[in-house]
Amino acid sequence: MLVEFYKTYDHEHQHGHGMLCQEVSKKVYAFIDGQLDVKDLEAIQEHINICLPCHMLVNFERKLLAIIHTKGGGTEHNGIPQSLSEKIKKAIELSSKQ
Amino acid sequence: MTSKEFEAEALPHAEALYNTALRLTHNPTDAEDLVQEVFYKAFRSLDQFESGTNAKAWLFKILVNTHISQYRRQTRNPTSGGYDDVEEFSLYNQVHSRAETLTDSPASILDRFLAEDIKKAIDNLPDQFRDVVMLVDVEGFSYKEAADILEVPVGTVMSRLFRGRKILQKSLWEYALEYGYVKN
Repeated sequence: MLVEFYKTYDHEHQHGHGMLCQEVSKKVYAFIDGQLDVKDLEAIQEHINICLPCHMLVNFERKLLAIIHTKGGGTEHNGIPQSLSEKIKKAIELSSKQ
Repeated sequence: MTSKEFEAEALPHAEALYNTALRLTHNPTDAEDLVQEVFYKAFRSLDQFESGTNAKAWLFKILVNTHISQYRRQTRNPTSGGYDDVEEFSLYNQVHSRAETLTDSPASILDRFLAEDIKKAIDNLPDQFRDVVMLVDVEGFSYKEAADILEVPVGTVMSRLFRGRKILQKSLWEYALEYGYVKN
């Protein structure tokens, strides 16, 4: 039943210091990436404190970026392959020769 | 800075360089060769590296430039265009609209993605979007650092990152449907 409530929730509603949900979804990455000025930052923070759908959106996007960071990084080799270690060693040796 | 000192600073970044090289080249052998060349160039031009500055950023700049010049991507891939429709896409909205129960929190679906799904989605990004997603989202460089590495304005990094993340989400949504991470 709660889910139905979220779905029908008036998502264009204005909360807090006049920031609209639509504006939050537009600025969500700038917010997460710490690129907003203080005024916008505070407006979003205030907004998500009282608007559950936007709060959920921000959490989702934050988690998505965290997953891209952890699962998009690292290699299957858990470190670099031995063959690459050797190539790097060779590159460093060669670079010191004229 | 001596060669030995730089070696101690540079080697810990080999894995990150290799990982990014893998995403850029799609091929382990090419990735190894690319990283080898990065180390060769870095040590050759060690006098240009300012001690105390960000060695990782410097190495990544060499990596990106070497890759671009080798593959001549800038001519093959002119800027942006063709992805206007993707800006409106939201993985959150897709997942949210299918939530059937309250325990089905939209964010919980994200745990179902495997590392290989994320990597495949990154691999499928057009070059210029993949560069910024790798640098900012995977490697954790700031917008400013990524802009320096790519030699583009910060605003360009921001717009490419925004689109890159959207394209990535679209791929992830396709995988979610295909692999049954969400009910179809």
